[in-house]
Amino acid sequence: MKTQSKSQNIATSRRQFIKRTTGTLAAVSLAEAVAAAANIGESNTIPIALIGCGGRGTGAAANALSTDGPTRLAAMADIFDFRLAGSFEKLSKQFTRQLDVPEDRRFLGFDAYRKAIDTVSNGGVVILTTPPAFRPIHLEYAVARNCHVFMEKSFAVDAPGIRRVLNAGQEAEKKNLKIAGGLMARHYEPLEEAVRRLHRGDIGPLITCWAYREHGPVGFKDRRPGMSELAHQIHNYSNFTWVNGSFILDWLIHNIDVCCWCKNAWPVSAQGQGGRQVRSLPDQMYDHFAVEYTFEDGTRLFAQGRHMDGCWRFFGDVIHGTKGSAVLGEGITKPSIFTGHRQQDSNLLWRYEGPRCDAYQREHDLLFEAIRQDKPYNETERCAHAAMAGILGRMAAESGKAVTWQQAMSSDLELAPGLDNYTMDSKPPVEADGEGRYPIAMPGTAKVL
Amino acid sequence: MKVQVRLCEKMSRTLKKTLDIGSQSAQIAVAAAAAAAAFWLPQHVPAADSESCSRYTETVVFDDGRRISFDMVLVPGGTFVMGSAAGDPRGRDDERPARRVRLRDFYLCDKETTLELFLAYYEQTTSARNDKKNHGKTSGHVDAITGPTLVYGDITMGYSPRHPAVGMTWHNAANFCLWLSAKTGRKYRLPTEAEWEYACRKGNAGCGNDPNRIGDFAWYKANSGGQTHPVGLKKPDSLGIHDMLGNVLEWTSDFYSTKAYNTDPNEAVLDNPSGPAGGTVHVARGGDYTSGAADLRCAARSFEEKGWRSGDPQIPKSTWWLPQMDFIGLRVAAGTE
Repeated sequence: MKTQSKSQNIATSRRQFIKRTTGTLAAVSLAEAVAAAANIGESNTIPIALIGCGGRGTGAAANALSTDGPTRLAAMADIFDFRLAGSFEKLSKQFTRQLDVPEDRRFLGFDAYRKAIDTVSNGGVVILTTPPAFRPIHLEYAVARNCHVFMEKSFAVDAPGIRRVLNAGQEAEKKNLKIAGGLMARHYEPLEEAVRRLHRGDIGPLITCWAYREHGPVGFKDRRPGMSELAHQIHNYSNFTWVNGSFILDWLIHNIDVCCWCKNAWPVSAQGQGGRQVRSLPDQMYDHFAVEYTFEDGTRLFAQGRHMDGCWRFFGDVIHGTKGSAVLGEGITKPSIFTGHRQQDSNLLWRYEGPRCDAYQREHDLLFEAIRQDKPYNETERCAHAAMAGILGRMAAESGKAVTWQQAMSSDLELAPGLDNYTMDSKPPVEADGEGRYPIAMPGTAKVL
Repeated sequence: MKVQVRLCEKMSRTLKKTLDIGSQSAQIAVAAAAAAAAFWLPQHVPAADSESCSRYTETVVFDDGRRISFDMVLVPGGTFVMGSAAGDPRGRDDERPARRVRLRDFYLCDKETTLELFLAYYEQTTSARNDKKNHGKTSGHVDAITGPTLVYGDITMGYSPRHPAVGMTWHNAANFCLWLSAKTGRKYRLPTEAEWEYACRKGNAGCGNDPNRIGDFAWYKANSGGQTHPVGLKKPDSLGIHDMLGNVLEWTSDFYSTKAYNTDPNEAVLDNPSGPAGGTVHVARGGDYTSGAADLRCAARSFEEKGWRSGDPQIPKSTWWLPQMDFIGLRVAAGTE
């Protein structure tokens, strides 16, 4: 859908950009503001660096290149040559004139992100779409190099990573850098309208939230010939906890976040369970989670995820208030609000029936509009907290213990110690035993804090 | 009724003797789905004979004993004017010029394909792939049909098993027909655009096209409540077919072209047309639950628009899924041979 923001023809000159930047943020030095605008130049063309060239990264780059105003893709980075080559080829076809990535700006390896970000430093946009374990490292560097950022979810896999993200977000705020996070449900207009209605009290104060992601098993890619163990695990990033933080984080984050958005609060504690009952592929994945979160006011959020065939399927949130209920969230195209607690048509209070909304495009439209018009835009904190809620859920389920938000946030346990210095020859933090089985977190004994 | 049943059984036996669908399907690569669709199109066969039953029930049997049935209705062949007349104010440019089309007999499912059946196809084909990865084994001849990639999210989009299957690409819908054929031993396919329009016109004459009565036959904007509904709840048309108009759009086998009807003017009657030889997107027919009454017309043509892929954040976009697009489904057809 063409959003209002896209219909506006925005052309902010470099001079205007600097003027607005320096005028709105007294704490920012003129030198920093000039630096942040420098790479845009008189043409207003915003250079973009893509870090993580998989399907989602390529899609995000396409979204960025489809925003209003001139943009160009200036650099690409990945650890896999086939990913980068595939991404370049796809984007070349669709954005021929905006693709400005000669071979010497296509970077491979664990340090490739630095080279790509350097290319667009001081005012360019960096798209961070690698697996989430690397997000804190990449975000820190992008902010240090005065870049605006779009970062795909999830945003970290452990508490030290979350703290790095939060700190980088604060640093970005000081530098007037714009940071967007890929929780696109927050920019899905039908859902925004539904949440507005909940916040004005259409179903009364919320008493319970349910977040679901119940569907079939997650895929698994066979090891490519010659691929190292480290590369294999990153290639299957959904399947190894140190890379994606488990599926209650990386796959349920949207609907946990939407519940917290409806509730307007983050949980203060969690207890739960999970395990691996049906899955037999050679990876680390739990195939089911059920976590009970508690909010400060004592009300609960229940999050369930199951990746098994032949079972009940549902992907969405169900919200109960004192007067009614709502069905919404990722997976629910048309949010609905009901009187009472039976979500049936005879009780329907409201259902979105407007035009389709492309939230993936909209989240980029909003970011680039904020950059060009120099409007405040920093989603880092709520994105980090949403990820922390997922991490808290994993900690509770894997350990079988009740964990408070404070305990979780204070944890120093890193899932991949030394990740900043990994090379292609590094050993991954987990390895298979002699029979090809990877370690699975065992409730009761697993150390998660 | 007894006569019909007897004739249907006879036809079924004949099919089983003459077809080896399993081995055929093994040779049909999914990558050639477009070509496969053409392969499945009815070849030149004699018009309906007395052995064609007016209706039969197909039952798909699964390894765990589960059975899913659906009914196929005979649409007797004939000649009709396809498209919109030059003076029809509701007609659009791509529905013109109207042309005379002659069709052989064919069968059309009396309902849109349900989520229950489409889920069974999805789970069976994707499980077969996982079985191979887990244990290096396969679980039956249907493995010859490549299944869809894993869907991002929930294939049901919150709808019940009795609702129409939604959000599949044309490629996936065509592949489902290959799977269904392998599973049942009878050739199933998507209807051609001409077949779809013909069945719609034949079944809806005097009822479904009457704007005052459309709510009796169709789920559309005025009565859908903004969502699809379980198949078969509305009155059937005179052929016994439900939901031809409204509820979900239905894929046809034809490529879409604005000029598809610009055929050789010297050809007085077009026999069993199957659409343009090539193209980039396919035709879907019948309107959906968001359509206004004026758009629920037998001649109205829809096709895959760019926005249909917008729910997929990846590039390349999925070959199999149209995430969030709950207005597009399918209805299977079959020849009488």
